[in-house]
Amino acid sequence: MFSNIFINRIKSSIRAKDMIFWTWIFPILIATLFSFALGDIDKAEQLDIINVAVVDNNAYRQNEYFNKALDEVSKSGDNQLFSLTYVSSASQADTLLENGDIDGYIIVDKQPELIVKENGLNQTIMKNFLDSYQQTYSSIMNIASNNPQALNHISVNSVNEIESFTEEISLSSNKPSATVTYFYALLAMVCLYGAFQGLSSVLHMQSNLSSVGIRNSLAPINKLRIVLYDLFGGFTVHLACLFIVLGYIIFVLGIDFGNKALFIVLTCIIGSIVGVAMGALITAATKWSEIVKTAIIICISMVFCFMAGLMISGINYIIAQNIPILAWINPAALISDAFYCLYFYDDLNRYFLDIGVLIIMAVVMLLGTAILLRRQKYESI
Amino acid sequence: MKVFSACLKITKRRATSIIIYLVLFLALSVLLTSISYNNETEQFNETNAKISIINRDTDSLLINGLIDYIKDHSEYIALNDNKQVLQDALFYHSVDYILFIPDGFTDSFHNNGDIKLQKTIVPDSAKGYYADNMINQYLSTAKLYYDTSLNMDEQTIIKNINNDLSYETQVTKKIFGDSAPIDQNFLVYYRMMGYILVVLIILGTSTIMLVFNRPDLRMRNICSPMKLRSINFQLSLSTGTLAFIFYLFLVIFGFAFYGSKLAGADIRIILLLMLNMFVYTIVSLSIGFICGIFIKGANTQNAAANFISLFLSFLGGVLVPLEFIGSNVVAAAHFIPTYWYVSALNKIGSLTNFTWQSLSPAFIDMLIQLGFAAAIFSVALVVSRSRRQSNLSFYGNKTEIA
Repeated sequence: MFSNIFINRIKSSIRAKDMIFWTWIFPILIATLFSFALGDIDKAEQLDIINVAVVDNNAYRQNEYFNKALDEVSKSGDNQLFSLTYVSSASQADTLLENGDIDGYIIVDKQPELIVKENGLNQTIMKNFLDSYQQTYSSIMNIASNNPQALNHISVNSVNEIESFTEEISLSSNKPSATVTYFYALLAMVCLYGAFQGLSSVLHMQSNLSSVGIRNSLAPINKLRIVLYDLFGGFTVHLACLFIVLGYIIFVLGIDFGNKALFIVLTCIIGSIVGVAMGALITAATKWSEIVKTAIIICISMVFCFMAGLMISGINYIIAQNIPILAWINPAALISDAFYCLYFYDDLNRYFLDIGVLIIMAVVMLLGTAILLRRQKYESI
Repeated sequence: MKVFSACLKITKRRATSIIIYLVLFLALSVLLTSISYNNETEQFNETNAKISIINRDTDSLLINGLIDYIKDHSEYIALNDNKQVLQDALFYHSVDYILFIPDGFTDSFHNNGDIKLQKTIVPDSAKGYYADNMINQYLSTAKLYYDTSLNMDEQTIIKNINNDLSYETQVTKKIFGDSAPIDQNFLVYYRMMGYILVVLIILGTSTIMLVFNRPDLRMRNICSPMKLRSINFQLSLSTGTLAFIFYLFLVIFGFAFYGSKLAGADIRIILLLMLNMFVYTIVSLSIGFICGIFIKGANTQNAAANFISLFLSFLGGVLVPLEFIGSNVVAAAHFIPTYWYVSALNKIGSLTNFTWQSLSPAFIDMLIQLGFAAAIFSVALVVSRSRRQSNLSFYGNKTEIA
């Protein structure tokens, strides 16, 4: 009995092209797309060498300290901040600025001044450099005027070199990365697409929607047992799809999921159960046609996945900060958060909390499905 | 115009799903637009880093001075001293820099000890560098005063530090051209259209074509006294009208939402942006047309619309700006019409004068888009012709004409 339903269900699932596309090919295509498009996104925030022009006028040449300070940060090497271009006049610098060849230029009158075209981080860093130079210079002048002997304590390089008072510590063994969350949300989406398996299992029980449903209703065994075996078959196929997608993301695309392999597998299993249960519940709760049910499943999963950060990384965090309840009732957010915990946290408390809530969701949805299916009778079709 | 009115009826029946998509994507674009950009202002504004401070040392004049200085020169984010809260905030870029002031730092600072401030940043980030510079600048100035002004009381020292650090370089912001630069949010909204127009137009066109490509209906229509050319013309007219309605709606929505920020902007730039989007509408229509030929059911329709639009927008620089995408991918993106839409958009957005020399690059990008549209339409026509004459269009029934 069990093996009959189970094996036939697996066969029929493998033959359903639509389902294979949504749970298998679609995620693999999207994952490949992500890896192409997001490959360099973590580098986007890195500090690049800033293109700056300096108007090489008399005032600049005479300002020896400033000359030296600017040379210091423009030396090629690991600490290079600026790439300097010397121009003879402001109008030449204007042309460079207008064409976007430089982020800004420095012109020394009495003090160094900065000319830019737009607001931005590079421009802010340029201003910050000029501020620092001038501030240190005025501190030294201030100290010298109050206490001329103090100048003996000050090294000549004080104006140019700023001591570092900070050291970097890391909060986690893995680096923060904007890329991985897209893949976590994508896997959450695949988990929720288990709903298509739930949909066909319950559809096989609804006599008004499928001929298999009519056949099954006539069978002299407990309906709940048929649906459970059927769901188990669907779940097995879906889990296989999920593992293929996971394997592709980890081994082919090389995305880091941390090193807690067993828990990653556990998350996939629970996520998949939640997906299947969600589909079963939606199908059992409505009497519309299969197309409408499919559309509802796609829409609900898309909204959940959007809120889990599939399209914009970090939206899940913004939601969790502002409307926490929305994060706790969204299975996609919980699944992707569970992956995040495995990647970034050292302890597993929040991971188990996520998994716990997911299990409760699955149980509630499966119970709901059972209750709804129990009441469905077809006097005439 | 029987076919045309039939198309209208079909669109009306499916209006709900299209409206749901429209609302969802408009909300998405507004959301994306509002969180992604700081606006350009007439005066220069610093781009501040988001900094959080966890003070584990006792309060002292030095530390309070430092904290006040940081708060004045950054976007200060208050966070609890809880590891997971801090990890989350850094991971999701809610802060750029977390500064830990360890217990005993003040004493160590005064006595040349080796307790340092601790920081956690997104590795090698520019904002981390900027924040670090600010903190080091404050503390090195403080060190200079503490080391050299032995007779000065601490309050005066802090006052002097603040006084020195209040110096700001004069920054002039040059505006090239006569008009105010175009609002960044408005530009991002137009960039998002590279995604939304394609989804909507694929869904819209394929909804109509799906019905007319149904084998039984096809056979029925071929029997009718209406010429095939007339049927096809009306079909094209209706999908074109639908695409134009989407275009108009999105343009009007753009003005309704961002119109208030366009004061002073050059009307010619806005018109060029609209023209570019219109050209892209034609490209989207050609994509919708070719999809319509292959799509056979509602599921495939959703899948195709989602995948094709995401593919075009991720690689074409709509969802992720082109400068963040690897150079190899950008090279490949040249073969995608969306890339040229975004490229033209960026060129129009940074126009400062309207000489032929500065306008021509944007026009060339638009011409390339039209080239793509023409190519896709031709392929679609060839494919549709060959399919029309094959068994596929007739349920695989063997007929005399197939």
